[in-house]
Amino acid sequence: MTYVRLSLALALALALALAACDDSSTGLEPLPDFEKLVVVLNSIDLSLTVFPVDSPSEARTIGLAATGSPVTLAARDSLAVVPMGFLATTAIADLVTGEVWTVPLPAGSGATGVAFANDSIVYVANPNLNTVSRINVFSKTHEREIAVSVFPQAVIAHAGRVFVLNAELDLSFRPARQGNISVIDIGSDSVVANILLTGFNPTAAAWRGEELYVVNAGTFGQGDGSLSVVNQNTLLETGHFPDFGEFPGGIAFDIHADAYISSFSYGLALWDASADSFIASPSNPIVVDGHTISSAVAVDSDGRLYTLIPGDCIAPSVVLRTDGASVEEIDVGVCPIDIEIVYREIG
Amino acid sequence: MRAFLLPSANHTPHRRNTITVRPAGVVLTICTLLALTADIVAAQYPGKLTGRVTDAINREPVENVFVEVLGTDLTTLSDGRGEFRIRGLEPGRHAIRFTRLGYEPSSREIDIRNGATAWLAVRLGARPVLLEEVRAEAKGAARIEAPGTISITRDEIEGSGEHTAAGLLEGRAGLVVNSRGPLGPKTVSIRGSSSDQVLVLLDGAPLGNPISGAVDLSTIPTSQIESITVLKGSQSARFGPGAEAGAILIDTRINATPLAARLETGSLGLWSVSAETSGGAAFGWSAGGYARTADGLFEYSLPDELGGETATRANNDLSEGNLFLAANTGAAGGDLRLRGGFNRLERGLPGPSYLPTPGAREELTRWNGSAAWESSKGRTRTSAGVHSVWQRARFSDPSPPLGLPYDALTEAFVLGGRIATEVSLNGALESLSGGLELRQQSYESTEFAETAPGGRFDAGVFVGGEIAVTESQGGPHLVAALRLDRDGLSRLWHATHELTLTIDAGPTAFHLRHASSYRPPSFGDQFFREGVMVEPNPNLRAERVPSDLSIGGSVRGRLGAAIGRLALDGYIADVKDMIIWAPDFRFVWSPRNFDVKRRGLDAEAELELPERNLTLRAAYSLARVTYDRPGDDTVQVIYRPRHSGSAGIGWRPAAWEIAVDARYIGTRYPVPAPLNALDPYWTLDLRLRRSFAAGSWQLTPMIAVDRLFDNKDSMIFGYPEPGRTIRIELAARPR
Repeated sequence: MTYVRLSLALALALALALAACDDSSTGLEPLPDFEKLVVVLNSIDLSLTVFPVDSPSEARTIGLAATGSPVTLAARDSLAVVPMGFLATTAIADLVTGEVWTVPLPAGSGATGVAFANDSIVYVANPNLNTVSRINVFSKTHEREIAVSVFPQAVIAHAGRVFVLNAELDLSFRPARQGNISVIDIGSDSVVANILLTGFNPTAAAWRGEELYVVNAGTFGQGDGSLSVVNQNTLLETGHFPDFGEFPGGIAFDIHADAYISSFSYGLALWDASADSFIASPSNPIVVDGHTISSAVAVDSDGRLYTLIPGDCIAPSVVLRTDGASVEEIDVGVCPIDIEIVYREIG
Repeated sequence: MRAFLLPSANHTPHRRNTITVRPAGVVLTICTLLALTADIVAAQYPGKLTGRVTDAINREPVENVFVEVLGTDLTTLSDGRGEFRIRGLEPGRHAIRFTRLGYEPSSREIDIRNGATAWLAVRLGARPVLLEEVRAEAKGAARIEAPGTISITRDEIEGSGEHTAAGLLEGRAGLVVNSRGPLGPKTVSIRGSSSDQVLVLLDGAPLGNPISGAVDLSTIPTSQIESITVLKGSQSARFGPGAEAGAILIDTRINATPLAARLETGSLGLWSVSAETSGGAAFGWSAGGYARTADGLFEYSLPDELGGETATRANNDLSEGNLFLAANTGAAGGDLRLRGGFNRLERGLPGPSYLPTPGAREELTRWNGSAAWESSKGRTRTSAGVHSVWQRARFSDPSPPLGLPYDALTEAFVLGGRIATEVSLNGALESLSGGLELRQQSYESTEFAETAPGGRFDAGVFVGGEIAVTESQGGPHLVAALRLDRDGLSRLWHATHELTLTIDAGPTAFHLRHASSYRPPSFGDQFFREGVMVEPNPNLRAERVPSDLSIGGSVRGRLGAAIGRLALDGYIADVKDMIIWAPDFRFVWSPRNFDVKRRGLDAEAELELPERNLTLRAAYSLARVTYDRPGDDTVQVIYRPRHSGSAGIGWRPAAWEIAVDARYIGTRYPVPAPLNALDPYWTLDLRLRRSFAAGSWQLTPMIAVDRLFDNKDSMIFGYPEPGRTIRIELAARPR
């Protein structure tokens, strides 16, 4: 009985305390509102196309720089970060105001991959220097450079670690050997592990639970793309699946935990990660609105699929969005190459 | 050579006799019928006088010679080929006077018969140039010529202080020079074209990088150039493939001074020296040489994206040498001109500031030679010529910042010949012409695929005619030209045409022109060796401009003590299947065909104040060059400024010469979207020159300041400019 009274008293006190701190009529702190934004990187006109998921017609375009060869982006809250390739700099764009800052990278970096480690820190891969750069997006400063393996070209972060995909390409941009992953501890900024992969030219990755699915693009023209699975705890490759065809380049999981793999040569393949088998293989791919080419893929929280159509890379192109029943064509810039869906707090 | 029979630069008469305008179709029909009955025609038409003025020593044509029919108000100027034409002459004996600055005046008498055309060949002897005759000309805006034409004479070249052909063309209406640094490659765009759509002929031989198709005009030193004529608009009917946006005709030296030398030094570690001489009696000869070196070092600021820090432009050195030799004499009843030249250039290619290439080098060796013969007998004029250019270019970089080391060697040999004849006629059909042109081009390059052919053999035949719609001086005048070319690689035939109607009405003149042109893909476009980040496109098609329409007019007159001139020329010249090297989303580059819309306007104005020795000139160009996309044709093609212009002042107080040239380059888009624009900018150049006597020598020191206000904007992102640079020159020649 005493416990009951004590519990009631504590509950009342807590309710009063909350009411005192809150000016809302409910007496409870409201959940923040979020705006879902789609961010598309256009590699030839060096721009971002940004539009709300629910109103694609309200798209805006943000120019990034006068030159460069960007291929990936990372977005978080109101910021998008784009390494500019042969222009040794990283563009940081405010998705709301359209303002763009640049943070110089080490000369000749050829920066490609990028990932947010937390709200303020991104890691950028410098494939020409065999390093990654740590950048503070709030202070707009390059903090340090960390050596990794040969030709790091993509980065993905998870649980206090950064996973750097090293493609091991030679000077003619062909794989010299199988790829690997450098694992960096964010706290110490040191490489704590190196994971050997069976596939060649790892180029993109996505998390499914504790497993990292890595797309290996293979050798251009050889049709030897593959998929590697890496366990977060053992830091070992636990699976490798060939037959992903010619130069797969993007991966995204849907709400059923199936992985869409994009390729410029066949469009979209669909991989059942539970059964380790194809639902739609490269030889029998998913064709969205007749397009058998895709430069990147994403899935939003409503399960809608986005596939980027690069087009002729002179004229503006489109992103196709489908919920399985209908297909929507959304205008973007010239040669779209990467896509992110970001949840921006507006409450 | 007059075989193409198009309106020439300055044959527009200053005054006219009478105007009788008739419906053109009726007149054409009548004139055609009358041409078949020459006797009747002769009884009904006044006579005409045509002719040509040449230099008595070197037999080169002399342009801008003032031709007067004494006792009448008939006058005209000789054109860039030295030719003139006066119509509406009453039958009888006439005295004709020829005057031009720098030449002894000459007078001739000639009988004009009813309805007949008389031909007069005149040779003017040079008169020593007096100090007072040194002219200050603002080079930024060209002297106003016939619509669509720019002529640059040797006098103007020497006064400009420029080192290369590219410098001579900067600031001209309708032309934009794409510069990759002060000592780097420079190509020219005409009316918003790409540089490979401009045909550059060196003494008739086409220049052009067999890989890119473009001509680097920074490799042609001004010491080698006698004159430059730029013909804007489609010119394939006159010069064959490649002249889509225009043709640049570069004539090498034929007329050196008896003895002259020049020494120059300046910023960027510049030193240059040149000398020339000439002589001869039965045959004239000229010879000269030129050398230039520069270390090219300067400080510049990195782009803001890279931090904006100060850096030193390295691997920007240049050294070049040039020799020319020319001779002229009479042969086989005509005039024979022989010309030859050698050029050697070596320079660093520093690359863009965001991706420097400290080890990249270019070496270029070029030999050129030509022989041209021309004869006039009665009403028939015949010309024949052969030309050749041998060129070896090597580009290498043992340690590029991206990709594999390379050492690319390309050799190109061009041998061509052309024969043409023109017959002057009585009646409305004034003349007919026709001819044949053959050209063998041989290529060898480490950059070509093994399947690439060793060269190409092209042939072209052309015909043309001139029709005077009325007999009055200044009446409507129609010029037609048709050319048929056989592409030696594709084995396809291409027909191109040109029709130009001109009307002179007192101080005003109008013209309407319709032409077509084409350009086959370059060897590099078709047979580039597949490699890192590039791949060929076997489905590439030839570019075409099927309808190049231009319309324009000019007016001249007095404003108090000033003489003013204004000329406008608008055009629509869409390009079908324009070849653009573009990357796909993998950043693999290849040539592809795109349609492009091209339309715009060139405007030039000039005001002379003779009493104050002052000349003001201005030029403006609008070039709307957009991708022809369904539903969106507003995006300007990359690095094509929609607006450009220039303004210049030339002032000659006493023996001084002062010239100030301002140039404007409008907004450029470095991407195929209205994004990431590069800001427009102005530059201002200053030249001061004074000639004075020193014993038996005439000395002319000059100081030239480029980018007077230290402007460091660059045409192309990442290719820094040094800002203000200074050059000091001393020229000497016997008095």
